[in-house]
Amino acid sequence: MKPESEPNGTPKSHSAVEQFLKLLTPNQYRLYGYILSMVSKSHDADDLMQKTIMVMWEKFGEYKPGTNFVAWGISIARHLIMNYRMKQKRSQLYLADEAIEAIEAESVRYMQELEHRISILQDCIKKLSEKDHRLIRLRYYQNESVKAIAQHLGKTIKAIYKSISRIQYILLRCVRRTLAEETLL
Amino acid sequence: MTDEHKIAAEVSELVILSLDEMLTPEQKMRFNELIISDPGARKYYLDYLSIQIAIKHIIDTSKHKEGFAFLQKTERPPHQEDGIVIGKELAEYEKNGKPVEVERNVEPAERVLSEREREAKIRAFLAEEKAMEEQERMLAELERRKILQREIRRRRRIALAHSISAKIKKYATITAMAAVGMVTAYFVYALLTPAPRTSSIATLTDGINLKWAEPDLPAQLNSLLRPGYMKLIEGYAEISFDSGAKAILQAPAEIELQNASRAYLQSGILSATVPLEARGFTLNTPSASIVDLGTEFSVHVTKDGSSDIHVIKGKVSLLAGKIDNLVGKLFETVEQIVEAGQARHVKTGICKIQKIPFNQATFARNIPLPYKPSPYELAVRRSNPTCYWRFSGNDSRKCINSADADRYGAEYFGSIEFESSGPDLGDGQPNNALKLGDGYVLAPDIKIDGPDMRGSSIALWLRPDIISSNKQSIIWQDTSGKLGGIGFERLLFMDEKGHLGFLIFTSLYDENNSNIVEVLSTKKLQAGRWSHVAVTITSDNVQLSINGRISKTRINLTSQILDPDLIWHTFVGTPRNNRGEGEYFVLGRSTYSIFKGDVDEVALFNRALQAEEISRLYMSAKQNILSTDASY
Repeated sequence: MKPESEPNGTPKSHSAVEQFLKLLTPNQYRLYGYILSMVSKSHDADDLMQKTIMVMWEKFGEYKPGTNFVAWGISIARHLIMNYRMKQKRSQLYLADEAIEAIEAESVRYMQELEHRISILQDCIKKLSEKDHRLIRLRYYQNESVKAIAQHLGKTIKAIYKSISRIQYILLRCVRRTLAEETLL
Repeated sequence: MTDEHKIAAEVSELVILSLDEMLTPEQKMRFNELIISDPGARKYYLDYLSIQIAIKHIIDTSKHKEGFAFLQKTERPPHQEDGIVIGKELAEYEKNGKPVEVERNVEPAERVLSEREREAKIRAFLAEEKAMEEQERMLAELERRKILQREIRRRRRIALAHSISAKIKKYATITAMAAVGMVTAYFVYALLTPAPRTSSIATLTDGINLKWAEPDLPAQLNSLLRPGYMKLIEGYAEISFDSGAKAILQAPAEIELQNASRAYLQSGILSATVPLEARGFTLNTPSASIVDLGTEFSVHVTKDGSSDIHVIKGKVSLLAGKIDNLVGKLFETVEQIVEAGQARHVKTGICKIQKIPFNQATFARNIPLPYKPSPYELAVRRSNPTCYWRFSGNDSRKCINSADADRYGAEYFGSIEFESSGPDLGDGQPNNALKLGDGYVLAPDIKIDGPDMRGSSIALWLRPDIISSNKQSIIWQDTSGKLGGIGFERLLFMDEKGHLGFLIFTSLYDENNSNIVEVLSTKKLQAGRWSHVAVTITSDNVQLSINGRISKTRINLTSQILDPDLIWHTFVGTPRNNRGEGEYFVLGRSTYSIFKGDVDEVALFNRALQAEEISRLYMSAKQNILSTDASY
C-alpha cells in the first residue's frame, strides 16, 4: 500500500513505518557504504547518511513498492552529496570530481555484495592476533582517538596509523582469500 | 613486496587517514591520482571501506546483542585521564543520538544536542505518552474543535513513534541487524517528533535581570524562541508560547521548550497562564506531567525532580509516575484532577500524589518590577529596626534588621494569605500584606534587645475587617513559664469601639487587678481602612500613636509592674531563661481573642522611637494614602 503523506511529509499509517523499516533495515549499510565512498570522511558520511534517511522518510510516499529500494535511496543520497560538495570549499574535499566519477559506478555495484563481505569479515577479525585485536578494540570499540592510543601504547601517532593500516591489509587479504576459496568451491 | 602489494598498503594507509580527516595536501593529491588512474587502487579503496563498515557493523551489533563477546573486553589505558574516557563515552552517545541532531538542523552537525537535552527530550516524550492517554478521557471536555483536532494529530504522531519500538524489537529477534534497526528507529523517532530548528514556537515577552546560562540565548524582549534547552540562572523570564499559553520562569530554572504547547521543566519555578484557546498545554517534569485544562497553575520542581503543583484557577490533569532511569520511561502512573485552590506534591521515583497546602505566594505570576524600596521602607530602615517583617510574600517569614540580615523566623498557622491590597507605602505601587483570617504568625523565640536599652517600639499597618463586640488581639507576648514561673504578658489590641489598646500584666495579679496596666487610644481605627500604628515604651511610659500622631500617653508604669526591665523589653523579647529561650511573639491572636483583618510592615525597635520619627514614618507614605486614612 502506498502511504499517503501529510503536508509535512510524515506518512500517516502505521504500516508505512513498518514498510519503511523493513526496507531500510537490511539496506542501511549499503547506503552508508555508497556515501562513505563518495566523501571519504567518516563524520561527513555519518551526517549525510542521517540526512539521506530523513529525506527518504519524507519522500517515502513517492517510493514505488517493488522497485529497487537501495537504488532509490542512492538517488537521494547522490543529490545530497552534490549539495554537500557544492557547499564545501574545494580544499576541504578529499575526492576530486574526476575521482568521484571514476568511483561511483563501481561503488554502487560493490555495495550490493556488502552483506556477504561483512559476514566473512566477522570470521577474519576473530583470526587476528591478540595484539591486533587489542588495537581494533581500542580504536573502534572503545572509540579512542589515535592520539590517545599512541600515548597509551607509548608509540607515535604515525606508528599507530601504520599498524591500523597493516591490520586492515591483513583483513583484506583474509576476505579476498575466503572469496577466492568460495569461488573454487 | 610487489607493486600491487605496495599499492594495497599505500591505499590502506590513505583510507585510514582520509576517514579521520588526517590527509596532508600531498597525500590527498596522491589519493586522487590512484583512484582516478588505477582500477586496482579503486578496488582496494572500496575493499578497505567495506572493512571499516564491517567493523562498524560488528561493533554496533556487539553493543546491542550478545554473541560478539570477542570485542566486548574493554580496556582502559592506565595513564589516561578520566576526561578522555568520559569524552569517548559521550562521543559514543552522541553517535547513537545523531539522528535527533540532523532532524533539527538544516546543515549536518550544525548543532549537537547535549546529553541532558536528549534525556530531557526522551523523558518528556515518554511522559507525554502517558499524558496523552489521560487526555483521551478528557477530550470530551475539550469541546472546541480546534483543540480536539490538535490532540488527535498528536496522538497519531505518538502512536506512530510507539509502533517503531515494537517493530524494532521484532526485528531484533529475527535478524542480526538489531543495531541497525535501533539506529533506524532513532532516525524515525526524530522525524516523528519534529521541531524544526528554523521555526520559533514562543516569544520572550518580558523579563527582569534576565540571564541565561547559554550566552547565545536571546535576552532581548520580543526575541523569538526555538525549541531547545534553556537554563535561566538569574532573574525572571516571561515566555509566551505561540499556542497562547504564558509562562513566568523564575531563576534558577532549567526548561526545554518542545513545541508551542509543550515544555519540560527540569528544575525551578514556573507559573503558567493558559487561556481557553491554549487548553491542553502540557508541562512535563521529571516526576509528573501536568495537562492544563484552561487554568493558571504554578509548579516548583526541585533538584531531585520532585514537583509541587499549585492550581490557582480552573483545573489541571496531573499524572505522576516512576521514571525508569534505564529507559527514561514513566510507568505505573497515577492520575488526578487538581482544582483551583488545591496543591499536590509528586516525589521523584514514587508513584504517589500527596496533598499539600495550597500557596500561591511563592510563585511569581507576573514579572515583578525591579525592586525599589518604597519611601516607607526607606524611612523604617533609617530608624534602624531590629526586626522588620515586610510580609511581601511567602518568602518573608524571617524579619530583617537594618543590615538586611535574616533574623527571627516566623511560623504561619491557620488561615494566612498574602494579598496585594496592602497599604500604599508612598510609591503608589502594589504592595502585599498579610491577611489574617483565623490564622496567626508566631515568632517563638524572639530576643532582639540591645546592650543598654531603655525602651522599645513597634510600628505596623493595620486594617481591621470589622469592629466587633469583642476585643481583638493584635500582638501578644507571653513569658509564661519562662521566668521562674512568673507569667508576664503584653497585649496590643483593638477594643469593641475601635480604640487601640495596650496592656501589661503579670500572672500574679491580685484580685483587684492592681498590676494590670491598660492604655486606650483616644482615636479609633476603622474597619476596612489602613491605619499606621506605633507603640513606644520607655522606662515607665507607654505611648500609642495612630497615623503619625500621639493618641495616648500613660506614665509611671513601674509603680504597678514588678520589674521595669520587663517593660522596656516589650516587643523585643525579655531576658532569656536558664534554658536560653526567648519570648513568644504572636501576631494576630492571643489566648483571649483573634484579630480579623490585614497587617503589614511590622517593625520592631530596641529603643523608644521619638514622636517625630513616628510622624516621619507615617508621612513617608502619606502622600498616597490620604484617601484611605482612618479618621481620628
